[in-house]
Amino acid sequence: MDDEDLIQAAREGKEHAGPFLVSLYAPMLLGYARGLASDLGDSACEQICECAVERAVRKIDLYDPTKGDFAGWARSMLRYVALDYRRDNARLQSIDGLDLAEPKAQSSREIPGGVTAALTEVVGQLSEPDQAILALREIEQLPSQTVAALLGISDAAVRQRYSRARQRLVRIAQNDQRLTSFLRGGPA
Amino acid sequence: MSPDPADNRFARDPELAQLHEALTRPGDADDHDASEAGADERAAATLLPALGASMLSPTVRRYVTELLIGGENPTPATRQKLVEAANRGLRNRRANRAALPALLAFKRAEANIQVTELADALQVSAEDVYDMESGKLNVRHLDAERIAKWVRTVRADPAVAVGALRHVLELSATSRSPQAAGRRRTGQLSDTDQRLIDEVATLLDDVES
Repeated sequence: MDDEDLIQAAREGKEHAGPFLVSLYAPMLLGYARGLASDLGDSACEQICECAVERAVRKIDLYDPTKGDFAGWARSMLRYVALDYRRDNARLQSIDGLDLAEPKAQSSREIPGGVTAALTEVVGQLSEPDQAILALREIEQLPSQTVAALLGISDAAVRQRYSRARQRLVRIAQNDQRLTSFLRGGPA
Repeated sequence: MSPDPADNRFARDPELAQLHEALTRPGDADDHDASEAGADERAAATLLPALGASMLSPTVRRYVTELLIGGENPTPATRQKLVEAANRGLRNRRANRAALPALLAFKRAEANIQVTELADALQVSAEDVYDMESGKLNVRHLDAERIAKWVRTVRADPAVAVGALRHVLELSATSRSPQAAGRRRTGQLSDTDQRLIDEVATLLDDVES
């Protein structure tokens, strides 16, 4: 059974899809949860993973293969669950009178289609190593220490590569007239 | 920490191996001019959250997935919990594709609502609830107000519930034209059925807004 068949089976709610999906993607999701939310502890990571699996199956209709692979989509589900978990946890902690830093929230700003197209071209002008470091830090939201461990380089090297990739992204975007208004905070 | 020379995770894919080597090459991060240092932080804060995986090159997407795919093997107990989570998701999907009685029976069980509690809310007997959930009691014999209340009490998604109502009415449609009788197609809705759907949708909309 290939990925496409498995996703179709899950869409149709077929029972055999569950164990197969878990066999294929659970190791990745568990490892990813630990990288993304190591500060929360093992039990929370497992709980996040559990909710992410359930949410991914429930919402599998939203998965669009033209926008990326299923593994990436499943990780995005886990990111949302982790964010919810942190929010809920922060709320509980604040009830206890503890002062917690706000978790980094996903952008709630609507991205117009024109901006997405222009930004895709801007990203395409970056080297692949720059794209990869931005993907790991910004899209996958992994802490620099986790990225360092994954790549087998020092944390300082990750921070430096990331900082330079960011600078290059901004420089190219600032020269793109289609992004001028967006960068000023206005509509595209 | 320096790159492990024995790192052969990408040995089978030269494109990924090349990208990994470029990304982890020592000292490579220092060979850029200093004029980049003054990049606009505000622009970065605007741009970065707008990045999405679909903007990356296919090689980078593959690389990120390969890098993260290994992860860690779950213990048998954790695996079991994850399979149960996947199965809950699948059950939810099946319920969402079911006719209204099955959907609402599933939602009641999921919300842990007792039959008596639902019966009180709908002002019917517990037997009636069982008959409604099993489909023994035709949904046409309930008025729109009661159906909408049923949907709300078990906290079903209004749009899914309206779809499921349409589904059950189509399955049991009695108003198919004689021309359609021999065809294998979904039953056509009578005006009365359509009116019931519209009324339920309106009642659920009113609560939503």
